Amino acid sequence: MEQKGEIVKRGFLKILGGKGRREFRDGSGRRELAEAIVDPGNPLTARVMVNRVWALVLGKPLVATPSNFGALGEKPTHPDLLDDLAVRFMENGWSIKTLTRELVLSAAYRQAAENPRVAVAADPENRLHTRMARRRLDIEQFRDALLLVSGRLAQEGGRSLELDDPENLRRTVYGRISRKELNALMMQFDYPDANVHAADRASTTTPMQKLWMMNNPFVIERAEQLAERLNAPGRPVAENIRRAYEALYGRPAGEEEIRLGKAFLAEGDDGAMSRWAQYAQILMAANEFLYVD
Amino acid sequence: MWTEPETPLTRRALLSRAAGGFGMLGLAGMLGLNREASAARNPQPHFAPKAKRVIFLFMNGAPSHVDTFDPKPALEKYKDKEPGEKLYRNRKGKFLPSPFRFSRHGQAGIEVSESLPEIAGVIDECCVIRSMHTDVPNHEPGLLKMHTGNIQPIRPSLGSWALYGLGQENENLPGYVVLRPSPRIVVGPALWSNSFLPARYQAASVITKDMAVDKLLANIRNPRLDCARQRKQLDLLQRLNRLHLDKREGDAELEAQIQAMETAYQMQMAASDTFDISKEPQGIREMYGNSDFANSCLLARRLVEDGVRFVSVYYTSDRSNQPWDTHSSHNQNHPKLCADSDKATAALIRDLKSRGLLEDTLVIWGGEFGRTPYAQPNKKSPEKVGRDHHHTGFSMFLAGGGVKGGMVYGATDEVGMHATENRMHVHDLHATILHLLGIDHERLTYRWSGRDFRLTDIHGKVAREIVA
Repeated sequence: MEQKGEIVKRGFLKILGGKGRREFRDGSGRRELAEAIVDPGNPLTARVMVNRVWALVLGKPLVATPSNFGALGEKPTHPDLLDDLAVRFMENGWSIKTLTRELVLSAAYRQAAENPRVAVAADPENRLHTRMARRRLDIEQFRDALLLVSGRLAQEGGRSLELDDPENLRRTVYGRISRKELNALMMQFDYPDANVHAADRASTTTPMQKLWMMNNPFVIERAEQLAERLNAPGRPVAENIRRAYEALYGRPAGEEEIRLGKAFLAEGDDGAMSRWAQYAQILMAANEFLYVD
Repeated sequence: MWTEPETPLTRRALLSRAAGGFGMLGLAGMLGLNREASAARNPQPHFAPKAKRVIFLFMNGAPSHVDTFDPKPALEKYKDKEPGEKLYRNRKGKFLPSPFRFSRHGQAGIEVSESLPEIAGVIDECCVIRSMHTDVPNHEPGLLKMHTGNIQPIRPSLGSWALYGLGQENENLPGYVVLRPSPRIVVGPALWSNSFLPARYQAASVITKDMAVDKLLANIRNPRLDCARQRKQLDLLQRLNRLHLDKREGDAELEAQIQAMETAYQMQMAASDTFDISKEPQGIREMYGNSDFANSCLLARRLVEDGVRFVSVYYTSDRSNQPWDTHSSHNQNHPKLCADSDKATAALIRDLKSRGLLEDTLVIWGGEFGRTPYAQPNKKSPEKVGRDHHHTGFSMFLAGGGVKGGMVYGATDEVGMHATENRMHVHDLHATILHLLGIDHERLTYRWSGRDFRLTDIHGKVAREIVA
């Protein structure tokens, strides 16, 4: 550096702190920086956090650009709600648990995805939260769900493991993420480039994803394990099907669904995969397993 | 979880049992905020495209321009001199004349080195650019610049931008395919990253060491069920999906999932066929040659023939992640590399031409930069002299895809140090490639992090003179 300018004193960002910019004098300044970030006079931090939790719970954020609340970002759809939540979030000691509890107990959250009382046309983009957004499971949730229903989900943490390792039955969030070469499965299901800041995740539907569902040994193994759990010998087939629907979809099976299932299972084993395992794979590959509404 | 509980339920157990735990899973995170319907997005080009597909043949490590496409007889005159100017890399040697003879080829009479006799034979299809230049003579930034227009690794690649601009042509195949014989490659997947562009524009990366279809494509076959049995399985699946959909007012996203499942089933047959180069007749196989690069070139032709938009073929090997980086023994290694690349590249151009595909398929040949016209001396064994990285003047060529054939565009100075006439920066090359694809590089933008991004940032000039 050949031409040095004036020495800039340590302090909070001028663009956020305004004219009364606070200077940091104590030690490394980190404590003061932390205090400035969560100062009640700087509600930006709380707004950003509340917006993200809202998006996770309700399916879309109040500010459509979660990482940009500046002049180039989008305006909030419900500014008063955002501020109300942000202030109480601070008052409650920044408790994410309290915030989440409040959101999931709200009338907006407890709606179904179909609201017979309000026509879709009256609120096509669901800006008014007249219904719950139909939510697709992320790959992490989806892989975990496959492990859970097959009875193999390992509820343990530890060092991250390769997701391609067939022995890795832990929750997907513990999978190894390499910035150099992203895991192929994660990439296929929209995991963003790990070198780039990602405010949200795209949601694509591709045939490559379905090939994984149809043919990957991980899925086939889960289907076989699920079949083992479902097909209790000596119990009527219809009863097994009913239990399958309750376990996978959390609802009773319909008459038509039971009839179709019975017909498929009645054909008997005909190949290297049992009829029940094939049926279990169908239930796991169905849209109803992938979506929550 | 669906067996009757033997002990009274705790709150935690109740939550994890209800609906197989989905209530909780649903809570844990729903990040897909910008929900897009999945149906093929086929945007309109900005104007009539000349090229519909691209094959980028990439010579990793950077080939020497003064030994291939840019003859510099004056190097003989200066062979006892070193460059007098201040250089980016402070390593100098004496000017090094090319040991390879240049002669004129084709109706256009373009001078090509004897190290590329086959490409010389198709030179009337090619537009040789002798005035390329880039920002930095180091591999990582040079590779990133050539692939993403930016020397830092956070931008989408040319292939992803092209796919974003053009949309997919064949839904049964990925729109952007990357072929390389070994996972080893300098920089790595950032070269073909979709970065902040939606995942739909990502590349399918294929390792071509083993050309057996199920080795090339993951999950392309069910290890247990044959197609007939799988069809019956899918028939029931789709019945159940329809029942589910009927209760949900025909939600387009659910419909797209049903479609994707059908496409996946079809893809098992279609993709298996496309990726299988053993279906090629012996004569064609021989024309390309028998090497990793040759196999990839042949596969690239099959891919574009069936509607893949963008194919990148990397010249690497298990032994070297950048074979063209001839810092030592340049005169010995360069002709070996050329022999392999030359035969397959020319075969690809001939093959595309004979199928009528060359007119709307753009073939690009080159590396991240060029090599110095002066020597990188080798003190221990002077005969192992090499050439160093060189970024201020180098050559590439384009063929087909609406480019004028039998043409030389631009020039370097007397000794091949700097591009002087019709200078073509990497941004200009990118702008020109997008132009050939019917895309205005200034209008192909994506909004991210509060602003619009372009492949060419605020740069790029279309070289209209080379467009047919």
